[in-house]
Amino acid sequence: MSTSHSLYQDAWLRLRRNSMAIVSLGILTVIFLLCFALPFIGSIGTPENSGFEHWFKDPNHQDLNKTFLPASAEHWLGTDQSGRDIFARLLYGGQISLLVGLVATSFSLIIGISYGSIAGYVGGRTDALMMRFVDILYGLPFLVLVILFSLLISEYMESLTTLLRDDWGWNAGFVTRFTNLIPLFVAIGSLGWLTMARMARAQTLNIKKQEYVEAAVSLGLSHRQILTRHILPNMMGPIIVYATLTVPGFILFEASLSYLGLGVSSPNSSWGILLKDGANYMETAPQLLIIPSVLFSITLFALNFLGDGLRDALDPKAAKD
Amino acid sequence: MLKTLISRLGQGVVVIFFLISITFVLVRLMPGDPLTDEKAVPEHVIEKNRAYYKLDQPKVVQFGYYLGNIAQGDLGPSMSKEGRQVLEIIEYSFPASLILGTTGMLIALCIGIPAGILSALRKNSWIDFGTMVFAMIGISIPSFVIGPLLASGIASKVPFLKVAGWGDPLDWLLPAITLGLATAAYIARITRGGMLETLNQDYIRTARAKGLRESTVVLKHALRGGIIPAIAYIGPAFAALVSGSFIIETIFQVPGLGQHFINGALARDYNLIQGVVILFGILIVLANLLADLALAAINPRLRNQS
Repeated sequence: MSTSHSLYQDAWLRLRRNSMAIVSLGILTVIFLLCFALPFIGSIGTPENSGFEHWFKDPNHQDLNKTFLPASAEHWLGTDQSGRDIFARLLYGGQISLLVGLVATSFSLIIGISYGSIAGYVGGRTDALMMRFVDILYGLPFLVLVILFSLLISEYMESLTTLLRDDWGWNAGFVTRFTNLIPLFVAIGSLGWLTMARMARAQTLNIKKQEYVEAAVSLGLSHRQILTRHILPNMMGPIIVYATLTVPGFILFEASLSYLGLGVSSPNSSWGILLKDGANYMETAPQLLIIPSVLFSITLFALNFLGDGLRDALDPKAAKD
Repeated sequence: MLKTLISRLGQGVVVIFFLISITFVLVRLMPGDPLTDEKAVPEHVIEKNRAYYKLDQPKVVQFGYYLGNIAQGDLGPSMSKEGRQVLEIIEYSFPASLILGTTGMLIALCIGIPAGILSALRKNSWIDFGTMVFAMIGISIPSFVIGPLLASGIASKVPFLKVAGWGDPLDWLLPAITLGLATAAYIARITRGGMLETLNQDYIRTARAKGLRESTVVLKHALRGGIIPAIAYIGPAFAALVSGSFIIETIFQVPGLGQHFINGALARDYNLIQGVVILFGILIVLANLLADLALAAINPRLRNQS
């Protein structure tokens, strides 16, 4: 246990020396807090007594008398084509984009690691068969299948919505928001695990040959114990790195789908939708495109830099130079 | 070599078969129906259409018919665009997607490989740092932001470039740059990594010690090994560019396949969806195969394997 502990301590020391990665970590923390904490604070209590109502407006509140306002004390970043507060829309959309990135990555982590480590651990014909299946899935057009898959799931979501809302009495707004997102999570996550599975398998094959696994076998540990206590903890380094780099990929992917009108839909919004709306008003109100693209790009930039930094820190052998 | 080629082609056929089956099941699982519309269509017309598209038959029979037709190169009639064959739609709109993808790939190669080589040669200099930051920007900014920015920033100022349209080859330039930029960034990073690895090899030192010119050492000896990871990436990347250019096609109003696919998916046009997916599947299989062949041609060690 102490060795794995010092591995991560080492990694943290190496990461701290990488100023780009640390700055990125700070920026990401701020963006996360803004997106998740501020709307929450803003929605506590009723507008009359909370004292926070100026912090965060209702992102869906339209006021056609106040379209395209410049930034002011009332609307920190101005208003959009329907008079909605851009700052609020930005944070609200950020929740979805960040959630998609994190949840889809977790999905693909869970599926990929279980699949890959089992294939690698069992080996032999099972391994060959399982990896051929991954090869086949690799040959499929990813974007096309995600579109089909999310259309397929989203149709079934309607019955889930009625079930949760009418039979179980859940909050209607929450249910719509929640069921709206599931197709996307599932579609991206269930098709995005392939590379993860390959990595997990390669790592497992490597670790299986180590002496400490042999020792564990001779001590009579069960397969499950060997997998969960020895193999999984030791392969996490490269996997974490790859996962960090897939988060921006999935965020970008959701944005592209939303841009095509196939991602999240109203009442949800995401950075992809803001960018899409912004591109429509590029000539008349360029700030509608510029503000979300700046925040979006900064986030992806920071995630990518953090991922690179983590790779150098956790996986010194695979470092770029 | 021939044996490898044949076995790889056989694998490709298996992949395509799986793809056809998966798509066939997937589209039929989707609720909704290709023949019902918002407009009220009389019941007997729907029945007639159902019989025409063989949708009244059991699913297994439909699948059999579909496979038989594909074997004869027939992708069936479109279900949402009346009177048009899927093959016709593909023949009409795929060239634009293919041209866009190819031009994008060429641009990516022309930018990415020299940038990667240069930053590997001048490692840790400002050229290296600048290139890598630029690559990171290319990876981080989505194409639907770069596209409009290029369109408004460049096309409005340069007289012979148009904001949108697909008339003459000059119109290809902006969409292709937009499409190729992220790929260029990846290629630059991969090439840099590959070059750094080979530049440290003994045979490079030997080549330098023999007194070869630096350009010969880099371009003839180091590049041959250093370009391998980039080539392995190019195959799948090309397929992804051609099949994933929907967004660029939307921004620049390119009459490609992307719009047809999205509309087809929304209208539950089974035959059109399946046709496009099969086309992209074949493209991916071929691109991977070509990349492997190119790798074998460059790297003798791979030639005798498998």
